[in-house]
Amino acid sequence: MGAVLRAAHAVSRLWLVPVALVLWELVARTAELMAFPPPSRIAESMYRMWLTGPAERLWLNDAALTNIPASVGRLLTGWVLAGVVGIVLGVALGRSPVLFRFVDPLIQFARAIPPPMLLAFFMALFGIGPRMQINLIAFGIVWPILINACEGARHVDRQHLDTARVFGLSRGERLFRVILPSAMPKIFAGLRVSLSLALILMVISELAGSTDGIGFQLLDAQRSYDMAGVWGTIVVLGVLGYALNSAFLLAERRVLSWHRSAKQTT
Amino acid sequence: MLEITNLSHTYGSGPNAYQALGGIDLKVAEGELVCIVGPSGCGKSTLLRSIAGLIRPSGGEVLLNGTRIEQTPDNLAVVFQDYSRSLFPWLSVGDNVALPLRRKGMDKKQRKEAAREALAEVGLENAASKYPWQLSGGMQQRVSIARALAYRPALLLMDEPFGSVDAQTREDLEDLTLRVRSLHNMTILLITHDIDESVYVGDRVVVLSKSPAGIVGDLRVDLPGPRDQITTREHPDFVHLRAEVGRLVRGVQEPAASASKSPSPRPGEDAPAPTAADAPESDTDDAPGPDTDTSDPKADTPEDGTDTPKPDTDTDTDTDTDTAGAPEDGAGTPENGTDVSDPEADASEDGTDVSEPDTDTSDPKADTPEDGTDTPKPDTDTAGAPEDGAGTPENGTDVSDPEADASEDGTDVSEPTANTPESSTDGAPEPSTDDAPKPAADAPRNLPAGTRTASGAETDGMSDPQAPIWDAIGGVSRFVALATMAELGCADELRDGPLSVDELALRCGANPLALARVFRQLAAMGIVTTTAPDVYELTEAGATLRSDVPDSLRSAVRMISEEGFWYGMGRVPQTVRTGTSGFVERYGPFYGYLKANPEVGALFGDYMVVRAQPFVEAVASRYDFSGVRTLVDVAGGKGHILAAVLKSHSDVSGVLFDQDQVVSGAKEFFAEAGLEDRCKFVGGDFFTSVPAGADAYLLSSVIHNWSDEDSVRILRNVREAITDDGRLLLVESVVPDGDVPHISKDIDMRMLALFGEGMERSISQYVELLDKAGFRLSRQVELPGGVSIVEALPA
Repeated sequence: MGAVLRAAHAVSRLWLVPVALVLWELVARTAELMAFPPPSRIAESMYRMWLTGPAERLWLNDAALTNIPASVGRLLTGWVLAGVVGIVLGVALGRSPVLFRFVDPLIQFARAIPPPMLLAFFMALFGIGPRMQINLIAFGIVWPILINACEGARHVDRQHLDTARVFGLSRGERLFRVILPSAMPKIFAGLRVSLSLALILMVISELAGSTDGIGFQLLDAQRSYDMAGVWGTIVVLGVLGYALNSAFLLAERRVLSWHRSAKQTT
Repeated sequence: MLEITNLSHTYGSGPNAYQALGGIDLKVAEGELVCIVGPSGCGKSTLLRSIAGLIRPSGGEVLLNGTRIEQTPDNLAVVFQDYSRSLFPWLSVGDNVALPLRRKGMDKKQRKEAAREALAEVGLENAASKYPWQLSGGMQQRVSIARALAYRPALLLMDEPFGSVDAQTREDLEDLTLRVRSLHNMTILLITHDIDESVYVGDRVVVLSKSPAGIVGDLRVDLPGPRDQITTREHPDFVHLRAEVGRLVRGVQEPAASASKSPSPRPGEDAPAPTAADAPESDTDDAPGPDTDTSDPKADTPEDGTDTPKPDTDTDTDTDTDTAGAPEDGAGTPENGTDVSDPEADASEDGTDVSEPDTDTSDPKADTPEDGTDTPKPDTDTAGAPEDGAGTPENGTDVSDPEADASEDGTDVSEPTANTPESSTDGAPEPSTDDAPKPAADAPRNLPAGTRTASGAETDGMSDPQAPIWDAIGGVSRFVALATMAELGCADELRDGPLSVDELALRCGANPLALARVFRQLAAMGIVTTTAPDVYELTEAGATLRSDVPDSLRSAVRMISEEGFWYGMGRVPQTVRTGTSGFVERYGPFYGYLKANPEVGALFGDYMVVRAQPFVEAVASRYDFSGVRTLVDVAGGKGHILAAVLKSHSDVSGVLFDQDQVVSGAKEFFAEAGLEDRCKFVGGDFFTSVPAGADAYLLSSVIHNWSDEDSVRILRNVREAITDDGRLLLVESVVPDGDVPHISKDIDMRMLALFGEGMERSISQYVELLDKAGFRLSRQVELPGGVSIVEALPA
C-alpha cells in the first residue's frame, strides 16, 4: 500500500520529464540543427558508446568500464582528500583564533583563485595524469569545507563548551564529542557544495590533461563532430551529479538525523 | 565546604567597565541547600560561573573544601537553565549522562550502568536510548539532573534550573531536587529568581542586591516536616518568609528591620525576620583590592588556548570576507551557486547548516532569568538579526546576516554582525570567551538606558511582541480542550490509572480520533501525561478535574464552558459597546437563568463553593473575630463561611440570612456540622432589611454582583441594622492598583459578560460605596486566592 502510494507520488512528480523529452524530440526533429540532436539520437549514441558489452557485465562495454569508474574514482579521491584536509584544518583554525588570524589572509587569497586557472600550474607540477587531476580537484574544492568547518568549530554553543568544562571532558573528548558533532551540520553543508564542485573540476581536468574519463570522452566526441556523443556525455555527467548528490543527502540524513529532529522540536 | 570571600567581578575596563559582583562573602556548609535569589540581572549567574571556575573573578576567592578554585573542580557539577543547550543533541540521553563519567575512571559498562541508575532516580529509566529532543522540556531537565547525579559531585550548582519549564513540571522538579538531595546528602547551591521556589527548596535563602551584587539578606528556612507543594506553601511561616524574601529582593525596607546578627531566627508572627546587612562573618579588614587584581580580559583565558579571546574587529571582517569571498569560489563554476540556492535544497538540506547563528555571540537569553519561561528557540536568540527570525525561521536561518543572503553562497556564514562593534566596548570580544557575553546579559536592566549595550537592548527588543496576543488566543484552545475533558468526564475514567485514547473514547462516548487530538493538547498543558503512545495518565493537575475529589474543579470548568456563559463571553465586545450584557439581553438576568435551568444552577453552586474554598477557611483563621458576639452572614448561601467561623470561634453565634428557599437548604448543612444550635436562620430580602442588632455583618461575594446604587441600598440596610460598635466585613476580590494581572480582573470580565450591573471594584471604589452607605473603611486583610476582607466601621 505505502509502496504503491510512494510510486504514484514519484510518478506524479516526474511527469514533466517525459513531456519535456517528447517536446524536445519534436522540436529537435523539426529544427534539424546539428548542434541539437533529438533525445532519441542521444540515447542511441549513449547506447553505442557504453552499452554494447555482454549481458553478464550489465551490457557495459570497455569504454564504460574504464572511463566512468576512472572519473568517479578521481572525483571521490579528490573529494575525500579535500574533506580530510578541510575538516582538520578548518576545525584547528576555528578553535584557535591566533592561528586563524595568521592563516586567514592566505586562505582568502588561495580560495579566490579560480581553480581552472591553476590547471596549467598543476600540469607543470604533476604532469598529465590522475595525480594532477586529484590534486586539482582537492585544491579547488577544499575551501567550502575548510571555511564551513572553521565556522562550525568557532560557533560551538558556549553552553555546550561550558558543560564540557564543568564536567571535565578531556581535550580529545571535547573535540570528538562536542566540537566536531556540533560543527557537523556546517561541515556537511561544505561537503555538499564541494561535491558538486568536484564534478566540475573533474571534467575540466579531464578536458585538458587526460587519456581517459568522461571528460576525455566528451572531448573525443567533440573532436569527431559527434554531437550526439557530446550530448550523451553531458547526460551522463548530469545523472552522475544527481546520483552523487542523492547519495550524499542520504548519508547526511543518517548522520545528522539528530540535527534535523532537534531543530524541529526545539 | 564552600567558602566565598569578598568575591567581586568586573567585566571590561575603563568607562565601560561593569561591576557585576561587589564583594560577596558566603559560606555553605556540607549538605546544605542554599538558594540564591535576587532581582533579574543582578549577577547571580556571574557568581555561579565564578564558583564553577568558568570565569576567573576579578577579586576575592572561592574555596571548595579548602582548595582555591582556579579551574573547574572535578567534584562539582552544574545544572544549567537551558537544558536544550546544555544537553548534547547528538548524543542519546544515556550517552549524555555517561559522557562525563570517563573522568571518573569507569569503563564503558560501569558508565552505562551508572547512567541507567541516575536516570532511574529521576524517573526516566526507559529513556536512555532516546535523544534529548525527543523528550519534553521537563524531562530534558531531569536528564540534566541525572547527569549531575551520576557524576556524584560534592557540590551541585543549579543555575535557574527550572526557569524554562511550565509550572507543574517546575514543582515536580523542585520535589525531585529535594528527593535526590536527601538521598545523596549533596550540597546544593541553587540560583533562582523565583522567590517562592527559593523558600520552598532552600535550607537557607541568600538574597542578592541589584548589581553590583552584594548580599542583602541571609535567611534560614525553618519549615516543619517534609516539604509539600500544597501544605508547605500555605504554611504561615512559608508565607511570611516569602514576603520577607520578596521585600529584600525588591529592596523594600521593612519598617522595623532587626539588626539581628545571626541569620537564623525563625520568623514569628509579627516579628520581622532578620534582614539585610548580616553578611556572615565578613572580614572587613581584609579586603584584597579587587580591581588591582585583574581587569585584563586575558586573565580569563581558560586552560585551553583555543578559547583565547579574540579582538572583535576580526570577527567583523571575517564575516564580511567570508560572505564576499565565497562567490568567487563559484566564479568559474556557476553551477555551484545554483545548486545551493535551489530553494528545495535550501529548505531541507542546507538548512542543516544552521547552527543557531548566535549561540555563542553574547547570547543573553541563557542568563536572563525572565526569559526563561519561554522556551528558547534558535531563531529568537539571534540577537543580531531580528528580521531573520521573524520572516524565515527555518530555511533562511543559515544565513542570518541579511547581506550574506544576497551572496547566494553555500558557505552559510551565520555570524550576526549587528552586535559585534558594540560588544567590543565592554570588553566582550569573541564568542567563545567565557565571560564576554555576560555584561550584556546581566547589565541591561540596571544601566541607564543610554548605556545599555547593544546586545542587551536587542534582547529586550527580541522578546516577541506578539507573544501575549498569541498566548491569549491559545488560551481559548487550551480551555476548550479542558472543557471537553470536563464535559466528557474523562478524568473520572482515568482515576484508576492510564488508559489508551481508544478505551477512553469508548468509555466516555467520544470519537477516538477527535479525542486523541484533545488529549495531545491536554498533555501539552500538563493536565495528563503520555505513558505510552496514545496512552494517558492524569497528572496532579488533571486529578483536580475528577468529580470525586474534594474541591473538584470539574464543575468550575463546565460552568465556564456552559452554553449561556460561553455565549455571554462571546458577546463581551457588544456588551461593552452598548453597556448592557449580551447575556442578559438574550437569557434575562443571570440568577433567573440559573433558576430556569436547574442543572446549570447546580453547576454554578458547585463552582461558587470551589471558588470560595481557598478563602472560606482563611476568613475564619486570618481574621480576628475576638470581640464579635453575633455574626450575620448576609446572603450567605449555604453558609460555608459562617460555619467555618463558628467552628473556630466558639464564642460567636451566627445568623444566616438569605432568601427563604436558600436558608432552608442551609439548615441541613449546619445540622450535619453540629452547629445548628449556634446559628439562627432568617429568610428575607436584603433590599428591604437585614436582621438587626448584631455587631458584625459579613457580605461575601455579594456586593460585586450589584450596581453601585443597589450596593449602597444593601449597605444602608446593613448600616441601619448594625450596632454602633459593630463592624462590616466585605469579602471580595479587590482589584489591586497598577497594571498587574490579578484574578479579580479575570472575574470582572465574567461579571461584565453575565451581569448587567455587577463589577469587581478597587479599594477606592469600595471606600466610595462605604462612604455613601454611612461606613468608613478601617482596613483591608488579604486572603489567599486574590480575595480580601474589607473591614468597615459605622461612620
